[in-house]
Amino acid sequence: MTDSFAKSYLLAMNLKVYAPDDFPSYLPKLNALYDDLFSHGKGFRAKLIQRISAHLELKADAVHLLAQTIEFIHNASLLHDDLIDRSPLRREKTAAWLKYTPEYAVLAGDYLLARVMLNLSRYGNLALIQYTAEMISNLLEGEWIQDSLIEDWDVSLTQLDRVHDLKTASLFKWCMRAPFIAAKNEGVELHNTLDEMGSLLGLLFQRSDDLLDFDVRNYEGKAVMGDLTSGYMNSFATFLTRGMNEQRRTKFRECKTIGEIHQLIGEAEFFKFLEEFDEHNKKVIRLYDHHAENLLRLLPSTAQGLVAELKILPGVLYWRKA
Amino acid sequence: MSEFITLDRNDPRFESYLLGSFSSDHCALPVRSLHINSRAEQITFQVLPVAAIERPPMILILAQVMRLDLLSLSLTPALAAWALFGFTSDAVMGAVALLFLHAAFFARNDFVDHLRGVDRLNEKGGSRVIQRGWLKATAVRKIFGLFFLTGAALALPVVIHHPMIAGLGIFGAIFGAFGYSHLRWSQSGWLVGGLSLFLCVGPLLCLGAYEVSAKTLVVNAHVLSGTSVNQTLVWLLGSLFGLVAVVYVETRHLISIVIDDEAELQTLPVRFGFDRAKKTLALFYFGVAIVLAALLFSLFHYLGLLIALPMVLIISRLGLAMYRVSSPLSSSLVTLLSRSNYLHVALGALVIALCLL
Repeated sequence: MTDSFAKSYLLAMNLKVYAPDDFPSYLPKLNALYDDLFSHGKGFRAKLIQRISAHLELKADAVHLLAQTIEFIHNASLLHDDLIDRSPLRREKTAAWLKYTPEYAVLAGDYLLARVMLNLSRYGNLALIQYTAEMISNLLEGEWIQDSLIEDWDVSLTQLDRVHDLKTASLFKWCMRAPFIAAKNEGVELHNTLDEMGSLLGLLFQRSDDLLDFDVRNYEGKAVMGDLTSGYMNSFATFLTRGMNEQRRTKFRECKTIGEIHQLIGEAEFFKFLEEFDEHNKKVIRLYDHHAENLLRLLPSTAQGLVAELKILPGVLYWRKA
Repeated sequence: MSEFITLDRNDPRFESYLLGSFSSDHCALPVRSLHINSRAEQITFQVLPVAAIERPPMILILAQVMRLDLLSLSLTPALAAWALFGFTSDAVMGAVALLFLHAAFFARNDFVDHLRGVDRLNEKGGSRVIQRGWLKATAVRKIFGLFFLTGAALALPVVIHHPMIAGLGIFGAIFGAFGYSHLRWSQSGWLVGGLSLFLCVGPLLCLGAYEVSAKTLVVNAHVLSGTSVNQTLVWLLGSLFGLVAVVYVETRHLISIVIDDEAELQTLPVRFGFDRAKKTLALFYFGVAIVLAALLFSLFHYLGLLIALPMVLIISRLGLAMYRVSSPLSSSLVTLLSRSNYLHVALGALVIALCLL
């Protein structure tokens, strides 16, 4: 049972969290843009919402709202990110700002956020609206600060973690907490625990994504070296260059391929660093498991089964396997 | 014992884990903190056997607690003043007392910032000896007590010989050792804290050092000597070091602006905002250059300006670098932080060298 849940998170799912009549019919190319954007995404966050909500026995319309909300926010950030970074591709397809126009990409992102606020205000849960607004604010702060670190080749891992906690982890925290807010279960200790779990999941997800950029556990054969070539030192790059002198750092940032990285650092040395990096993250996973254990005593009896499902997530997100 | 434990403020074990007094053979390293310095605070500790923690030799740990890397902030202004106005036996005693009071200040800061959570969130804050499990918080508190009493005992004969020091010292102690740690949390913390820092490790420190010096200008240049000239020189010297100290500390605050903002610490960068704060610090750098030029002009007239020129250029470059910083998380801020510390040392070395030559 656990394996099938894990596999379902990893598989691409054409999860349509919206219907054509969610948006006005008179905005040209809007639905086409969203169709492109939402297709081929795994919808991981929406799935997480669905799984948590199932244990809380939330009504179908509430689950749909939450799933839609998180996917809208996430994809709005992708629309803007691709334009900011001038990334030509998104999910193996031409990015929206290139295929349509930069103006449409910006507006489409803003429109998704506006729809989120509209839908949530119609739903009427004030705590949920407030928390969502806080999350979007954190997301944007993280994006802003990250943008200020482009071509900063000496940024530290801890500084990056701070950015990722604002940017990536905010969404995961929301996924963990929003269903409970919708279910009007707002215990402080419960939400602190969920917050910590979301934060750690976000960290693991980001670090795994950063490893992917160095072709580590790249089971899907995604394009690599995008971060470094765009002038951004991701967490693994920062880890690799610790203790390097200025000359080697300069050579590192000039690398265009994984082969060049291996040549510079030495292949054995590269995998030794990887092992060390993995060790750090194993501690993060143990910390996550600790919070999951705490969650058991905070959940109502009907929702206890949720913990077993949440425990598989680090494996899915970090090790990228079921 | 399980590897991790999460406690909130309502838990009766919270304080004992935070202080490290919960066990004699285990220590609790704070790995995650939520809602610091509030009633809703929650900390996750990693509990490890004391024997499992790799520690450097105690002498190195103590050196770290004492923040010997920042000793220049406390000692250099006094040494420069004594180099300028002549050493005495009381000055030597005073220097040793300063060393211990410096260590006491930073040990107390470590303890307070650990309890308040600032050093738990800011991985560059403090000496890190508590967060790494090298010493428990209670041990650091004891070290503060020991250093403070030692420093006070060493300073006592000096104060008895020079009662004026008592006034300066008490004022400095109130602001420096205790006020600074707490003022940061108040609405006017940025101003009062900054001012107290400037005065305590700047003009007041130099005034105090002057009081125990020979009060005779040793620099035999084209300068009229006399009490009023001496006072001017002391204030210029003190302002020079006070400004650099403020630049150093506020650069630290700029680096930790995100955390400080979250913790509601009222530092200058939090109050001014990132952009205005960095411009203010850039101005402070130029202020340092001007005061240095004024000091050396007072001592050596136009020759002094020539001597000051290379340093003024270096300081101006630092000021420009500060102006150009693009992000609070930028690595260039970390570089500027260490350079401001080196600047403090270099300025002291310059003044002392000029006096000795």
